[in-house]
Amino acid sequence: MQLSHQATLGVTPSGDLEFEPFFLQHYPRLVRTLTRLIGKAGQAEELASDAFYRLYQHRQQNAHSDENPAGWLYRTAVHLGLDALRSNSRRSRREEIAQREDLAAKTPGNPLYELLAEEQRERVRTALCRLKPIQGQVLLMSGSGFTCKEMSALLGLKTDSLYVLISRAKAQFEKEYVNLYGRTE
Amino acid sequence: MTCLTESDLQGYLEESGPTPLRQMVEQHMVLCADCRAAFDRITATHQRVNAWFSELESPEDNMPVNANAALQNVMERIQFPPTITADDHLARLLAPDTDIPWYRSIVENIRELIHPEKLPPLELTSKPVAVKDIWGGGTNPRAIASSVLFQGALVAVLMLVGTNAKVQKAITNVVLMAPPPPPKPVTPKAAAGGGGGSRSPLPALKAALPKPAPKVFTPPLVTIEHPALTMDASLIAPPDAWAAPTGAIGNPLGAIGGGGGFGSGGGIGNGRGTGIGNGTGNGAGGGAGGGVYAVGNGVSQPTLISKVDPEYSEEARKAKYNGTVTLSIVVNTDGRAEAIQVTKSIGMGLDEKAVEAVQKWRFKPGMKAGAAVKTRAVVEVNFRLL
Repeated sequence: MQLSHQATLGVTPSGDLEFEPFFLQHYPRLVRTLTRLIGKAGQAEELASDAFYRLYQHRQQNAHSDENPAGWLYRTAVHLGLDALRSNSRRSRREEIAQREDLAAKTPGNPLYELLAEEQRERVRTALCRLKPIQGQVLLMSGSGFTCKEMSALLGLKTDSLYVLISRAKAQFEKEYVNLYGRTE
Repeated sequence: MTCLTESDLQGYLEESGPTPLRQMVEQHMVLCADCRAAFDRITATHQRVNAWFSELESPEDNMPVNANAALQNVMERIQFPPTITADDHLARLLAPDTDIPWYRSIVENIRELIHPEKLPPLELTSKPVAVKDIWGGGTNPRAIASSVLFQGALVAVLMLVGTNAKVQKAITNVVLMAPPPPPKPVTPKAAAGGGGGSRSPLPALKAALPKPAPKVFTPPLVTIEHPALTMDASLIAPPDAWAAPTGAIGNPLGAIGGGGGFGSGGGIGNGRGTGIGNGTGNGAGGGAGGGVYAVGNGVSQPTLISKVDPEYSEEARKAKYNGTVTLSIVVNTDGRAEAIQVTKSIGMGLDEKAVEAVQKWRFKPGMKAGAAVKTRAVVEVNFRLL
C-alpha cells in the first residue's frame, strides 16, 4: 500500500519512524492486549485502530513532541479499552456469555468449564476496571507477555519504579477482587 | 545491613535468571527474616494475581490479526477524514443563538408597526370532513335490547319483592324507634267565679227539678210563714219523666249575700248571689266579694275624668241598631274600671264594645275618710247612629 508523505510520522529523536512499520509492529500485540481486556476480538481491533488514528492526529498537532509514541499509544488504547469495558452493559455481557456457551456447546470440550472460565474472566475484568488506569495497564501488559524492559520503555519508567508500580498494582487488584468476590481459594 | 525494598522483591519475581538483583535478594533473605516474610507475602499476591490474569487467556488470543487490512482502514480514515468535524458536532448539538438584543427587538417592532409585513393570503388547505354524529347516528338495537331487558328485570324484581308476604309482613311490623310525642297538656279552663259562700261546713246544696205531676197547683200569693202543708213546685209531666238525677239544677236554698258551700265572702250586694247556685261548685275565684264599697254612708261617688267613645260593631252598624248597655263596674283605687259586668245587654256585639270602652275610662275613685276605696258604680253606654 502506497501511503502519502503526510501519512508518515517522525516520532523519535533518533530518526523518522514511518507510521506503517510502527503500525504493523504494534498493532497485533495491541489487539491481543485489548482482547484480553474486553474479551471481544472485533471490538479490540476497532479500538486498536482508533488508538492508532488518535496517535496520528496527536502527532500531527504535536509534531515536535518528544513523547514516546508507543507509550502514548498503549496508554490511550488501554484507556479506550477500559472505557469500553465499563460501557459494555451487563446485558450485552450476558448475551456474549450465551453466545460463548453456544459456541462451547458446538466445540469439543466441557461446556461447564467454558462457562466457569468465562465467569472468571468477567470477574477479573470487573476488578480491573476498579484500578487506576496505569495500574490496570501494567497488569494487563504484564499478563500479556510484555517484559519489564519493554514495559519500562513503553511507559517511560525506570525499572525500579516499574517494579514498585507492578507490586502495588497487584496488591490493589487482589484487594479489589477479594472485596468483590471473596477469597475463592 | 539495609532491608530489601518493595522494588527489589517485586523485581526478583519479575526477572528471571541469575541477575544481580536476584542474587542480592537471595543473599539478603538468608539473613533477614522480615524480608523473607515480606517476600512470602508479595509472592503469594503475585501468584494469585497471575493466576487470575491467566484466566483471561482465550482461544481468540491466538486468532490471526490482519494488520494490513487494519492499516489500510486507518490510512483511509487519515486520508479521508470524516466530513463532520468536532466543531460541526458542537454546532449541531447547540441550538442557534436566537436571543435578540432588546433594542433590536424594539426597532423591529416599530418598523413592523409602520410598515407591516405583507403576508401572502391565507390559503385554507384543510377541508371539513363529515363525521358521524355521535348522538343522531341511529340506535343500536343491541343497546336497546339490553336496556329493555335490564329495566324489565329491575321492575320484575321490585314487583316480586313487593308482593312477597314476608316483605309485606316486615313492612307492617314497623317498630317506632322514637317514642310518640307527649300529648299536649290540657290547660284547665278557668271556671267562672262562683258566688260568695256562707262558710257553711256542708257542701253547697244542689237543686232539683220540680216534681213531675199530672196537675199543677198554683201556690198562694200570700206568703205564709209556717204553712201546715207545704206545696212543692211541680211541672206537668209524666211521673217518670226525669228519673235521672237532676241535682245540678238550681239551688232553692240560696240566700241573699251568699249561698251555701265552702266559699267565703258575702257576694256583691243586693241582687247578687240569689241565682241558682254557684255554677259547677267550687270554682276558681270567689267572686268580687270583700273590699268594695257602695256609694253612701261616707263613701263618695267616683267621678269620670276621661272617657273613650265606644266603637260600633259591624253588625250593629249594618243593622243601624241603637241602644244603651248598662254595666256594673268597680272603680278601684287607681281609677280604673274592673269587675265589669253587663247588667243590661243589647246584643249585636255592642256589649263587648261597651266593655272595651269602659276599660279605657279613667275615674276619680270613691273616697272614704280621705282614702281611695274600691267603689261599685253603674255605667250606661249609649249607642246612637247619627
